[in-house]
Amino acid sequence: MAASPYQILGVSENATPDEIKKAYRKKARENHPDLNPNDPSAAERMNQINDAYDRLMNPQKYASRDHASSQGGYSQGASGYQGTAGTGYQGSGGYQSTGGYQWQTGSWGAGSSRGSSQGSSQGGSQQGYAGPYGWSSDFGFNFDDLFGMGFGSTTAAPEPSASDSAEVRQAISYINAGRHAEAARILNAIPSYGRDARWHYLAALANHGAGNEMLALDQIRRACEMEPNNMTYRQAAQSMRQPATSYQQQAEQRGFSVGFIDPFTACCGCIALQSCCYPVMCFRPF
Amino acid sequence: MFGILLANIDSLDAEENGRYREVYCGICHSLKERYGQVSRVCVNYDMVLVALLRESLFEHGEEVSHARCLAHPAKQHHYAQSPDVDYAADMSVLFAYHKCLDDWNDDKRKAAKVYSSALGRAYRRVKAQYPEQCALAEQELAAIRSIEGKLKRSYQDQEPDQEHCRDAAMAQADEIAKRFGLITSIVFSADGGWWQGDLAEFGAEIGRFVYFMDALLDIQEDKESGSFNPFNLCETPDEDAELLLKSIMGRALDRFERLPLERDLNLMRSILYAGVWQRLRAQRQERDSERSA
Repeated sequence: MAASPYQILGVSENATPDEIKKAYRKKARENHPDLNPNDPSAAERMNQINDAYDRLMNPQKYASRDHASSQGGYSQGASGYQGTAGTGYQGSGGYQSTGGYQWQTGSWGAGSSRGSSQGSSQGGSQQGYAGPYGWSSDFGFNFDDLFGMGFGSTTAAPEPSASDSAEVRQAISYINAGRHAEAARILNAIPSYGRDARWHYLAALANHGAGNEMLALDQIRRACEMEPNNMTYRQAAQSMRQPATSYQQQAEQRGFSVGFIDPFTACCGCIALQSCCYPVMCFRPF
Repeated sequence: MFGILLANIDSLDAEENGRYREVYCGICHSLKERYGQVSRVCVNYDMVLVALLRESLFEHGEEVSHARCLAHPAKQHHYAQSPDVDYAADMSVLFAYHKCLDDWNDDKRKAAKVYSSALGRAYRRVKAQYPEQCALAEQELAAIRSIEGKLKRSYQDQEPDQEHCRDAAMAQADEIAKRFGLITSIVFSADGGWWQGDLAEFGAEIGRFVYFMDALLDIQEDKESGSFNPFNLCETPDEDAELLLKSIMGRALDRFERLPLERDLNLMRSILYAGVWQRLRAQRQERDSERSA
């Protein structure tokens, strides 16, 4: 009979993130294997505590396991965002040099593609909690995992339209399959006269997913400029700017002043009106 | 050496300020003890974030001692000692050594050559202890240099078509940023155990931020030297550049705020939410006051 994550951490189901973090700290200090050298079950307890914390703080990771195929923004394969049952958090040591990004990973990244149950200090199948300096010698980085959309993506998946060329359709299906770099490559092959607003929108999605942030933000801006009344493009723009918006909000809530342009004092500062109030639009109307 | 991941002193109370310096001094002390006096040139505030974050997350346990030193001859000051401070010191060597190499390659600055020889011994020892980090840094920095070198030449030689030029410049900038992000990713996440993944993602975004912020700060300098700078080539408006930077930092903070951090939390937040903008803000103020003068 498994304990719930709340029970493991000793918090109520209404606990705030801050409370969860404090609870974690308390449990970690009590159960840290380094502090309990004669207790062989300390490692296992630590794993459970880590896992419980991860489930509470990153619920979308576990939801994504069930909805992986419908989330256009998630990268494929055993990435850090698709946990398998029982092993909890995949991020550590879950790197694979799948070469999906086609870069020269060289000798350091030459590890073979590893299943998600591998990695240094994860889950029950492993050697247990390896301590804070637990060695994880796998540095097979997967760029999609590091720089791809990951969790928090609310960008709607693109849908093919009747007037799309074959290349565009292919690009769309790559985007929806999480193969953003390939989608970008196809779109880049389309010459300039074929680069309408829709091209810019799709290229923005592809580049955003591939972690080409500067290009993606520029492309979605151009898509909106070319077709100012297109709600799909606007929503995509808003979604791509979401981290910037949240960052600004969080900074203000915590009493820090960030950057220079402060859209929410210029706009109404009301989150409910976000739908009509795009962060950068205040300073450059489309 | 980045001069970007700095705390915003105004948002710290006296204790936090003291703590910030304590870790900085700890890095300096660690460098001196383990690599000799000359290595202290590597000390910088940016790496304090590495020490703070790892200590807060892992809670290895720290000691605080006091001493006098050349920089603080008058009275004793506190300095922190811990495995994470040592690690931050080691990573300082890594970045400083490569920066010197870059400076030497770029401008043939004699001082850079002297420093890189002096740091060479320290770097070899760091490399022996952290072969993956150093191999990765060497590889990615070489790739970055190669991209920038090619771009510098191609933009000097041709009269490129505007749109193509802009897109290509941005794509290359994104690639360079990701490669640099890979280095910082491994620096933050090494030996991270359970937290390796989160730290790697956080580190990756920090690296990208540093690259773009550095480019933004160097706009004038790069215009004069002809070095590749995407903001120059694309004539990026201020708000677009800032949107980019905030997007990246937003992603970094999304990871950060999910970590179970307690110790030094406000100090780290003062770096990530405010301090990282300080130099840019100062530069803008100077620019604006020059314009209105």
